[in-house]
Amino acid sequence: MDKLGVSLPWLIAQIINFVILLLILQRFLYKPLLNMIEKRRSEIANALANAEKVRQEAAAKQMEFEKQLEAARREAQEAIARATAQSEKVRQEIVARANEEAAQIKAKAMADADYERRQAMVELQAQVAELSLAITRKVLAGGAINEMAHRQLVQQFLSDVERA
Amino acid sequence: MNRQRIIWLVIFLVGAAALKVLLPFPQEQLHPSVVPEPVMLIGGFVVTNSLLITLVVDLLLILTVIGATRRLSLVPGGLQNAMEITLEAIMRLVRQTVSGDEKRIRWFFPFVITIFLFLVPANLLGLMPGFGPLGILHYDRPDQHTPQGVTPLLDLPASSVFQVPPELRAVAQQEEAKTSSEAEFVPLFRAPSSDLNTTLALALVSWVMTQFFGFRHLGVLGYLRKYFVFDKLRRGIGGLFSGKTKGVGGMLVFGVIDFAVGILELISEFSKVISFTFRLFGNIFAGEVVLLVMAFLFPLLPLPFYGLETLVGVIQAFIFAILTLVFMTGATTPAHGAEEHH
Repeated sequence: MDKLGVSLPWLIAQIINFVILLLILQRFLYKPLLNMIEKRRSEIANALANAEKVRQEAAAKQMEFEKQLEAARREAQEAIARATAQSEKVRQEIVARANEEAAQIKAKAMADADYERRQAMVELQAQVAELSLAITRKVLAGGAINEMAHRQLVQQFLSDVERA
Repeated sequence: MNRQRIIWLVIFLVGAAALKVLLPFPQEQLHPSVVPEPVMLIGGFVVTNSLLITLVVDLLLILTVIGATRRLSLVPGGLQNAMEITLEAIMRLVRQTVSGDEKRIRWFFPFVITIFLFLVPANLLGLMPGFGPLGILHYDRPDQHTPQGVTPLLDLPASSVFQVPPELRAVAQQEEAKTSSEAEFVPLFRAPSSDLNTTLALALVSWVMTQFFGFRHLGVLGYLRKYFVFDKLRRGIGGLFSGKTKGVGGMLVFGVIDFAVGILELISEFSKVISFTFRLFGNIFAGEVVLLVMAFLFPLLPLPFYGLETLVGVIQAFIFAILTLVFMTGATTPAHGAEEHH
């Protein structure tokens, strides 16, 4: 052993050195670091669990929102449909009323026209009568007139009247 | 770690390697000594160069502890992160080996990790510049001259702790030193792992704790039953006396075999100390000798071996730790025969 350099004091020194080193490292390195690792593990696990909870809550909330949104959309659709139907009805009513009014106006106009025409006819007849009287008076005052001329005059007169 | 730090680290490593490779070394170093050389005498206790470096290793580890735990935080950085990675890797290994048994993890882990953390610097420090060429010259006679290739860095006063009397110095070379015309050169630094005292001390700690855990976990009888296997032999002899001859022959034969195997295991248990001691010492010491010889042959030749020795140093530290773990686990696992009876 001497030739190999192994000597009891040096050997014991090395053993003591190792044991002290182990105790120091155990107390000041392994324990704090392993504790820290353990703490970090639990903290991360907590954080992950929390995140999962939050995620689920968010998902639930989103689903609720979507449901509400869907309901709102349907409601709006219905409102639009109702309004459209309403407006269509109103439009039809207005058109119907307008048509009716137009028909009334037309009928009144036709009646007025008819009346005017008849009125004109009556006036015309009166004028014709008067005119024929005037003509007659003129002819009679003018002297003799034969049958032929008479007839011609009347004829001419009538055609004038017709043309007028 | 930022880029600048990495650059500094690389510069440091390359510089260290270059210094180591280029520094002149004493011719005397070509006869490397297995025996650690005494370099100091403190209060009657002879401190060898390897003990000195063991203290440096301790200091490095304590500085690491301070650096890693000074600002413990949940978000680790730098040294804390590096140490956590190491601890967790070893912890995972221990946990796998004992298959999650919390009690044995608590028992084994401090030994496995401390052996690893101690041996990595202990193995690698020998590669640092200054290991080998830096040393002390002892002029025991006035006519002795300075050996070739050695530059004395400083004159040591006669009363300094570095003045070790010749009778306490390298025992094997004492005769030679007395007659030599050259002053004796003693390297100041030596990797702890290239000293058999260190490796033997670690092997003894590992082995004693292995036996202790074996007894503690299995009980005195339970542990001894691993090495003294009488089960089948006793049943065979019992069968012989009770007259039930069926299968007794086989029982006796296997009983004898089991007993012999148990004794062999007992012997191999003791041989573990020797294999532990010399595996580590041999690897590290031989590595240093290889570097020395290569440096002697050609200035840049040691570089590839330098990388190789770095690898060997880390691997040997790991092997020592893992073998300790495996032996401890083996010692705390009940014998096969005992398991069947449970």
